[in-house]
Amino acid sequence: MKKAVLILFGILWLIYACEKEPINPAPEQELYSTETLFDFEGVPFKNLSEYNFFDGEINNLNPNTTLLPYNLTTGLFANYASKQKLIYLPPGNKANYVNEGQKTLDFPDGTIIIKTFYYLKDFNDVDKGKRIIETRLLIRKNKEWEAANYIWNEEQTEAKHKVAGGQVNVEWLHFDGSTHRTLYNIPNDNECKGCHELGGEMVLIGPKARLLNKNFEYPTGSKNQLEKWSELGLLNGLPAMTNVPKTALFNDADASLENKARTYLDINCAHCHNADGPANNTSLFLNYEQTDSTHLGKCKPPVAAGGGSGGLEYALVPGSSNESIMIYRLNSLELDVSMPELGRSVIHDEGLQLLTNWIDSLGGNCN
Amino acid sequence: MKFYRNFINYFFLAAVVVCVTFTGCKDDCEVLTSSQCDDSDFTTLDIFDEENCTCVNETITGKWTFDAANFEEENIQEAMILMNDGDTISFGAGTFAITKTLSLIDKSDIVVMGAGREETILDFSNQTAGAEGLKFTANKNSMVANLMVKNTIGDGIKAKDCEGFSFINVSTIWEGEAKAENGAYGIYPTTCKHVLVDGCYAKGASDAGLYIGQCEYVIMRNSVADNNVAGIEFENTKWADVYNCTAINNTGGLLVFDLPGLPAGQGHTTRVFNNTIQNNNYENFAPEGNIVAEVPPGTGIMLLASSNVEVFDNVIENNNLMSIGVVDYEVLAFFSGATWDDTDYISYPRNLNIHDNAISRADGAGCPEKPNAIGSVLSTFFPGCTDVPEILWDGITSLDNLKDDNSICVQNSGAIVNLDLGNFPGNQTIERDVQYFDCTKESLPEVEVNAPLLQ
Repeated sequence: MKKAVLILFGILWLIYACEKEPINPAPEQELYSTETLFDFEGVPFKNLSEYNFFDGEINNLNPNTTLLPYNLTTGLFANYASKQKLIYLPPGNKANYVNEGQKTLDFPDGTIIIKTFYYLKDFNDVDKGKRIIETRLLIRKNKEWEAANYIWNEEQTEAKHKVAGGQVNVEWLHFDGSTHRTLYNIPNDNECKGCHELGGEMVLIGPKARLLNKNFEYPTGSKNQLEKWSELGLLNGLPAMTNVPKTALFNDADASLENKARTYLDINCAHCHNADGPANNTSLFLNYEQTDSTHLGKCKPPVAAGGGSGGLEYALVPGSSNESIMIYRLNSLELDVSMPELGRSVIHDEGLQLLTNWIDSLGGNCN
Repeated sequence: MKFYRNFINYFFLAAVVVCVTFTGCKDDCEVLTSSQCDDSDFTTLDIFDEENCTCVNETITGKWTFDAANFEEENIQEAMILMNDGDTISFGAGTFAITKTLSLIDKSDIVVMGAGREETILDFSNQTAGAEGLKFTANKNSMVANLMVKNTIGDGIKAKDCEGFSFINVSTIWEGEAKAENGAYGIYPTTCKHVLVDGCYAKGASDAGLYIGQCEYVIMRNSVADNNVAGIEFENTKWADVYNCTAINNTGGLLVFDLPGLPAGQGHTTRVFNNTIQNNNYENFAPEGNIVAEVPPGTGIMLLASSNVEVFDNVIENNNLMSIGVVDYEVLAFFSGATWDDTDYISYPRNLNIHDNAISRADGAGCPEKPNAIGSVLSTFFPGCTDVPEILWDGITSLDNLKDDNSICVQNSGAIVNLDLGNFPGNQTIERDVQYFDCTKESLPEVEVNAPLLQ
C-alpha cells in the first residue's frame, strides 16, 4: 500500500544529543515529506553527501524533511560527544512496534539510522562552533543491518566511507570551563559489530520502545516520540501508552534512583551484557528487564575479568560502591579495566555518580 | 556471479595497466610504496606488489600479504574486514608494531598466518585501543598460525563463539617479570565448539596462559605454558583432550575447573595424559578477586568441582605443595569470599580416574617461597612441605556422594590424603593413605574435533 503521507509539522530545527545543547538555528517550518533522496541500490555510497540527508551546507547538519529526528531517555555515553540521531524510512513504509527484551522497533528494508558525532568547541557556548567527527549509518538491507561509517574531513566539507575506522585527537571546553582532551576512537566495521550484535546478528541498540518513550521538542510542540510516529503513520501497532514501558530520563529529578540507574545500565552496558550478547560468557546481565540479582552483579564474583577486578570480590556490593567492581571499571581509563570496552576514553562523571549513588543506596551486604 | 567476477578481473587488469603506465614502473619501482598504491577509495584495499611492481587489489586475489618493513596497520584491519571467506592473511617475518586490537568477525575458512612462532611478532607494547591483541568472533573453520602476539594490554588471542577454530604454532607472551598488570589470558577460546590448540606457547599471563573456557570438543597438544598463574586451564568445558603438553614454572600447572553461574553450565569429560607438569611453584601474581588468585603456588594439577576426568601417564615433578589436588569449589569460595546461588551446580569433584602418573619431588625442596592464603594453610598440615602425599583430597563432600559412577579411582599415582577441610579450622582429622579410592574405571574415549589443520 502506497500512501503519500503529508504531515503538517516542520521537522526539527534543533537536534538534541543525549544531554547536550542545540547546535542549529531554527529553519522555517517545513512539511514532513516522503521523497526519494537517493537510489538505495547504490548504498553504501562513498561520500556522505551522496545521500542528500542534509539540506544546504552539509556541515550545518540540517536534516532533510524526509528524516525523523529522535533521542533516547538516557543516552549511550560517547566521550561527551554530542549525537544527532535521525531515521530515514523508505517512502511508504512503516516501522512495527516491538517491546521484547533487547529487541528494538522493527524497521523495514531500506531504513537508515543516521548518527552524527560531533564536539561543540565550548560546551557552554554553541556559537563557538563544532567539530564533526563521524557519521555512522546503520542500513537495513535484505532483512539485515549493516554498518557504514563516514569520517569527516578536516575542512568539514565531506565525510568518506571507511571500513577501518581511525583515531582522532579531540579537544573541548568542558561544562566547568576547563579544557578536556582525548584520543577519540572511530570504530572500524568490526568494532561496530562489537556492540551491535545479538545472538550472532547485527542489531540496533537505541530505538527500543522503552528508550524512545519520551517527549521530543517538535516545532509544533512537545510530543511523545512514539505517539508522534504513530500519528504520522510511520509506526504500526503502538499499544495504549500505559502499556509501553518507560525508562528514566537521565536528568529527571523526579525519576527514582533505581529507574535512572537501571536505564543507564540498559543503554550503556546491556548491548553486551545480556544473555545473547558479546559478554554473555561473564554471566553479568544488565538489561532493563533483568530481575535476577546475581546476574545484575549483586555479590557476583567476576568471570574472566583479569585485572578488571581491581582486587575486588564482587561486581556490585549493595551499600558499598567503593567495593564494587562495576564502579572501579567505570572509573578507569586503563584499556583492560575500563568499561564499556569500546567507545570510552574519558570518564563519564555524571554516569559514575549516578551508579555510585544507586549502589550506595541499596540495602544488604555480601557477607 | 561468474560474469561479475570476470568483469571485475578485467577491470582490475585495466587498472593495473594504468598504474604501471602512470608510475613508469620499472624505473620508478623503488620509490613506489604501498601507501602510494593504497586507496583513495577507503573501502577496498590495494597493496603494492614489489616483485611485479604493481598495485594489487587483495579483494580479488584472496591473498593479503603484509611485510614488516613496509606496512600500514590500518591496512591489516581493513584486510580483516574486506577479506572473503576462504582468504588468507599472511604476515612476513619480522616485528609488526600494532596499536589497536585487530578483529575478525563472521568469516569462514579463513587463515591468519605468519612465518613462524618466533619469526613473526605482532607487538602490542604501545597499544592505544582495545584490550586484546587478536580478536576472532563467530568465525567458522578458521585458523591462526605461526605467529607471536606480544605484550597486549589485555588478552592475547581471543576467539569467541567460533565453530572449528585452530591455534597452531602460535605464542602469546608478556615480556619481563611476571606481574598482575599483564593480560589475563594468552590463548583464549571461549564459548567455541571444536577447538584445536597445537604447538602453542604462552608466557606471563596473569590468569591462564593456555585457556579453554566454556567450550565443547577441544584438543590441546604439543604446547607449552611457562610462567603464568595457571599454565593450562580448562574451565566449564565439555569433551576435551590435553596431551603432550608441558606446564612449567607456573603457579599452578594444569587446572580443570568448573565454576558456578556460567551460561555454559558445568563442564565434564576431560582426558589429561602424557603431559609434563614441572616446577610449578611460582608466586601467584593474579589480580585479587579472580578465582585463580586462590590457586596456591606449588600446584601441579588441580581438579576443581570437575567430573568425568581421566588423568593418566603424566609426569608430575617438583610441584612443591600439591602434585594433584582434588578440590571442592567451597574451598576456594571460603578463601575468596565468593558466594553462589546456582542451584544446578555441584561443587565437589567426582567421577575421576587418576592412574599411572609418575609423581615425584626433590628431597628437601621445601615449600614454595611465596605462598598464598590456601598455601599457607596447607603448609601448616605438612610443615616444611615435606612428606606431602601425592594426591590431596579436601574431604569436604561425603563418601556417599562418591559412589558408583561418581566414584574417584586412583591407581599407581602415589598416596592420597583426606584433609577433612569440612572441619577446618580446628576440628580436622587428617587421614593419610586412604584406601577408599582404590578402584578402577573404564577409560574415556578419544575426543573428535573438527578443526582445520595446517596444510
